Amino acid sequence: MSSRDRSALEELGVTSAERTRLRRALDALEPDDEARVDPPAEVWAGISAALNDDGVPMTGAAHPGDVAGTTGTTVVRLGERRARRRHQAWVVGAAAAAAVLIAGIALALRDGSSSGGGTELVAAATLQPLGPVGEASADVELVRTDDHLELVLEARDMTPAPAGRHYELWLLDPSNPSAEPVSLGPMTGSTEAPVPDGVDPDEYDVVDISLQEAGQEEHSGNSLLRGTLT
Amino acid sequence: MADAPQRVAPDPTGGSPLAHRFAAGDPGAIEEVYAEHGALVHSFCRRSLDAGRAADATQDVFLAAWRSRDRYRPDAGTLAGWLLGIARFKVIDILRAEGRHADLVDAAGAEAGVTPFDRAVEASDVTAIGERMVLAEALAGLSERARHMIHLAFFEDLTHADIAERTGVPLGTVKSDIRRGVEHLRRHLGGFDDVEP
Repeated sequence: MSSRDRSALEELGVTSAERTRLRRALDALEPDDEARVDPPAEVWAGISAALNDDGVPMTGAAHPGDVAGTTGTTVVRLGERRARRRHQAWVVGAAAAAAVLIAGIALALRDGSSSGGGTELVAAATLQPLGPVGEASADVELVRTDDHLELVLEARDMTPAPAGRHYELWLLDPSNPSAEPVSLGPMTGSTEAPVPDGVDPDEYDVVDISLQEAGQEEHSGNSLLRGTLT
Repeated sequence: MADAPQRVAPDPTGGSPLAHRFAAGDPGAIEEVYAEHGALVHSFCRRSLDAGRAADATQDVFLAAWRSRDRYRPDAGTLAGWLLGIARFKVIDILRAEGRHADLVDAAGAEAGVTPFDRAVEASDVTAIGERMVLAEALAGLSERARHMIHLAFFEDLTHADIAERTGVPLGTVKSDIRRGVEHLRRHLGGFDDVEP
């Protein structure tokens, strides 16, 4: 019965090259590999519009945040997302985590259980009108989930941007005249935007919404709403 | 869609019903695929790009996936893997375009730019991140018991019988758990590998 001595992987026809590749990748897994950040709503809007141009009938919005049932922040661990979707427990307690021996995943699980996978409110601001915005207003929260910072913006009464122009969300550092504004991307209304690594919100503490021309990469100078995170 | 009922249990070898609908060009499938995998693709892009470019890249990946859906083979791998395979080359292209920009700056006498070696390392890093995120996605779809057995199989090289003894799980269950687990990992990587630049 030579098969008794064959490893499980050999019995399944896993080659040594395949085994090496998988072992190396499994061994290198880190918490960031299972962190998930929902794309901003503008991404689906763009896809939907482009597909409509292609003649593909689009029936409605499909936003990952909607599916996951998230409110507030959209930074979640895979486990939270899966648990919500499938009611399948993934985040385990520290004792159980010790038994889950896939190194990176176990690390991620410990990470998740120690922080509870929750979010921490770091700062908040109400944006005030700087330009002709009618009744538009916005509240913004800076939240931290594990190592990730994200701006969660709730906009009210924002009318669509004029044709050929768009709104864009920025972080500014008013104390440093040579600091370039940091774009968090185009927006059309309420959105969640990750703060890029290396941007210190203690310095870049002003949230700004500008009106941009198509293709314009720098801040237009045409700010509509602005507020300071405190 | 957000609360569509699970109609059919996923086929572990031939691709999920959604994967087949996507490959067949069902217009509703792209919305469901985005809802299911948008965060995975976007999270991958954010590992190497800033927020604005990651959002643009995510949009490009799904449009490219839909427009080249005839190249997707549900039997070769999962949609999650295939989408990250597309995203991998999209991100590498974006980083290379920046590298070219750095070369121009370099030619103008500015400080040293990005070398071809740097670019190769960068592409290799992007690929490694994609591979790990595909595997994390696959592992999250397995039960804790199956993940534990996969670990024992890969890192301790045990036989099925050893694993059954170690875990106290019946041999038949060990065999089916590991077979399904390995197949699940393979299919995710298979999709990732099934994309050409």
